[in-house]
Amino acid sequence: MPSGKEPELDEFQHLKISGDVTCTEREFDHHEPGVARLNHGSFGSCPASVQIAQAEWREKWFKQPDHFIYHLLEDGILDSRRTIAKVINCPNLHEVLLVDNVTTAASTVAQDLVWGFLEGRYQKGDAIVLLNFAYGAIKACFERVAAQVGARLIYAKIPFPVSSPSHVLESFRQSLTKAREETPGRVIRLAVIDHITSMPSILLPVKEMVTLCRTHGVEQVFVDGAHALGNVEHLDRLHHPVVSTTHGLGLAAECAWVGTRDYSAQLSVPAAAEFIQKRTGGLEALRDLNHASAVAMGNLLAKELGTVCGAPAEMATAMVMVGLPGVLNIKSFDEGVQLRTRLRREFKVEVPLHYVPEEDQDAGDQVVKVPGITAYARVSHQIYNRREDYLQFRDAIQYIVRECAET
Amino acid sequence: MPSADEAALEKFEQLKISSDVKEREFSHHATGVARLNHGSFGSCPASVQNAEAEWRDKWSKQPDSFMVHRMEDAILESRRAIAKVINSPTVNEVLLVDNVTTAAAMVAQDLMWGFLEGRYQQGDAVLLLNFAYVSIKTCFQRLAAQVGARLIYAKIPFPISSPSHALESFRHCLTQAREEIQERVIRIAVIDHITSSPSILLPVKDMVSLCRSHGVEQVFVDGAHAIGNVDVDVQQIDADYYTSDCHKWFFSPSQVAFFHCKSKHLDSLHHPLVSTTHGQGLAAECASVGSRDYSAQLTVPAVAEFIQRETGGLEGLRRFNHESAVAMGKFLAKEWGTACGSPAEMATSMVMVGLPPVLNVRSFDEGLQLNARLRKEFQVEVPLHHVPEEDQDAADEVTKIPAITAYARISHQIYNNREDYLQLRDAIQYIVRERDKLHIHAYLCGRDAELVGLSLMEGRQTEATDEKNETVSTLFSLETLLVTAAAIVGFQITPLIQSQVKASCLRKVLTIPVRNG
Repeated sequence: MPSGKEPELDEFQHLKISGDVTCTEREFDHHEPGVARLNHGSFGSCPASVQIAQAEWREKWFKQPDHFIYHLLEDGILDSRRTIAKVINCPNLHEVLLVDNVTTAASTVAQDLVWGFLEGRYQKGDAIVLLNFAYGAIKACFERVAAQVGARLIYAKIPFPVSSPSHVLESFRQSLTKAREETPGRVIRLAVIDHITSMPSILLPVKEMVTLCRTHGVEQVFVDGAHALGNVEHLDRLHHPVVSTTHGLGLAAECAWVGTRDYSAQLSVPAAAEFIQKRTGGLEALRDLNHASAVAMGNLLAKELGTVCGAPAEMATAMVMVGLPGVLNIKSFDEGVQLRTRLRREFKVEVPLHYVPEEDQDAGDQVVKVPGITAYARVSHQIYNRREDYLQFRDAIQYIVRECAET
Repeated sequence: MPSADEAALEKFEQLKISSDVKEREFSHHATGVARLNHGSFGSCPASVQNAEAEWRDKWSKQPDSFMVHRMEDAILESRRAIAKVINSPTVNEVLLVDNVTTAAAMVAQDLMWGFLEGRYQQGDAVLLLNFAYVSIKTCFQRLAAQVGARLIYAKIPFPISSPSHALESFRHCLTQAREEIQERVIRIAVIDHITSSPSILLPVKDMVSLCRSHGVEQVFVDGAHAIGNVDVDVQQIDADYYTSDCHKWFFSPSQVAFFHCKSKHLDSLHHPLVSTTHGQGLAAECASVGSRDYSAQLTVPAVAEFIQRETGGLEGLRRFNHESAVAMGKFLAKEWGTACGSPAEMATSMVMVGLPPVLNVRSFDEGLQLNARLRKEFQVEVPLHHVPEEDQDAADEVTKIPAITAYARISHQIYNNREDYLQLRDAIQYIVRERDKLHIHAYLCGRDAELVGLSLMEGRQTEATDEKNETVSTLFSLETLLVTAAAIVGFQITPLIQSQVKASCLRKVLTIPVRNG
């Protein structure tokens, strides 16, 4: 172990976690033992007490489904929406809808866009702006819209590795200006901005970016980062992609009933909020802990591996992008996937990897000052993580590095 | 108990169903509730719920590993299990979706682009049945409004006397539709295999043929109630698209349904939600609709296993449920003095049983109110269907019993027993007796001729009070009462009323107040 200052999991003590480690172990007993679970970002993890709450809802449904539909479902969904509205500071409950996932939300927005074009409110050549790092499903969604209605799809470039939020803003502003030039006489109907990009993962200065959009004449902005739709101006025009009996009764009603399905997950939001409050001392403290720990672990790993992190601490979240040693020589997206699979199978380390495309490597080298880093690991910290998880990852990479050296 | 019920009970023993299946597999049901609405939301046996929980645990344990290494095969296994049950020529044609609502959205979306891309013209038609499920109607109404398609409803009669009664009506509507639209085309017909409200089994294979011979381009069969309830053979039925909810009669948790799509259409349809698998084929699109809980869709093999283990097989189970439902339907109709809304061959594991006319359900909302009351006060869960006024005459012709304005859709599933149906019977009879009281009081205060006729069909004892809230009683025979009432309120005694009075048993004598003037 290096003698330098260890990132301290003393931070755990500072946080008001009852029973400390024991508690979190009870809540996350369902995790596969021996796996360094460093990909919280993709699929999260549902603590046992929230799973139990969900099971209770499911039981009520199975017990007497008609009674559930008529007397329990609506209020339950309302409670969940209220809980979310509070967390995201939205004063208007009717603007907060529950959907299955961001994919569904995007389809809802995309559908509205399509009708804008079909009804002649928008013209062919009007544009949609996405970030280069927009999530795959979002890209697919809006690419399809563009193909269907003749909209122009423009990708705004966010650099990575990145040195600061203003680095991002500069790049975004430039892209917007260019977009305006490329679409003379046409309008940018929608910009889709990630609050936290997925791969690579960085926290964007989304408030300033929204402002930039407005000043560059972008008509609507859709922030992909909320897991609920919020703050939407044309609520009455939006429809859920699946039409059911509640169609036309308002988006909230359409989202709350999409045919017979299992709504127990969506009804568990208050239980999730309660878990956070009771077991972690509150969302703010938890976020701070996760962020501080992720950054600390990121720095540790970078040091041990002789690399750097791909963004400054202020642009990391509970996830941090840690450069992989150049000697691993990852030359493509697929090779990144192969390494990831190997880490999972041989070393029981779960961590997603981001490959820096060749055309971006020079710029990347400029930022990090360490040449030849072609891939980054997106390392997460959540309440159940231990120092050992990160050491397990470190050891796995070092093993593979030695292997490379020997060949 | 009528002998029909004994026969059903015997069958229960014959079928390989152990008598304690209710305790072992369905103990999660609310106790004391007569659960006669299996059709809406089904019921998931404990062993299938456990299977679902196991899949969920595997996911929670290591989600990345599960997604990458297990999910695809598990979905494929479920699809294979369905393909076998429905006799699909290939598993490729069988997709899993959340529910029939989602399947309809996919078909509607494809239709929409047909219009928008100019392959279809404004005025081309979409045909639905009058009894299409409400969200299906909404879905295609919306489509029609968006793209200028013409929506045509084909009438299926109810009550109904035979499958050919349905076919005749349907053929007639098809012919009429062709005439109405002239050179335009019927792009799709949406046909229910088993309608929802009222619930009858339609001769869907023949209806599909009729569609083809009348130039309908595509046929979409909404078989929401079908799998596990009746035989589903997609090759026989030969529709372009066939969908059914597994949570209704196939013992699945909710969020499991299948969509059968003929190979030739697989490339043109898309899931309404666009995800990373968009464009990789409909199966891939359906299997990956963003992060969600897929564990329900992975339970199909466990369901098949449950059916085999507990019932000896789907065919035997279907027959048992059907015969029991029919027997219970006949029993209730007899007890209530009404009739069933269709012959046994058009009933399934659900039967439409006429409610006593004296309940006087006059609208859809009143039907809902009665349904709610049955749930709250009597712990009976049963959906009700109201016969619209314009169909009442035709209805009376079929049943030969006048003024049945509402039907109960009773179901039979493996966990039901005799007491459930007795509970329903008693609840209705209680309300009937109550109604008599109300009606008889009312008729002296008003001139509602119809009310008088109905209330006098039941010769039951009751009490009434005058305007000073004092009980006044004088004994009259039913006929005397009728004459007196007629004199008081100026009501005409029609031959129909007379024959009703004669037909009803004068078991008891009515007690009513006598008003002066």
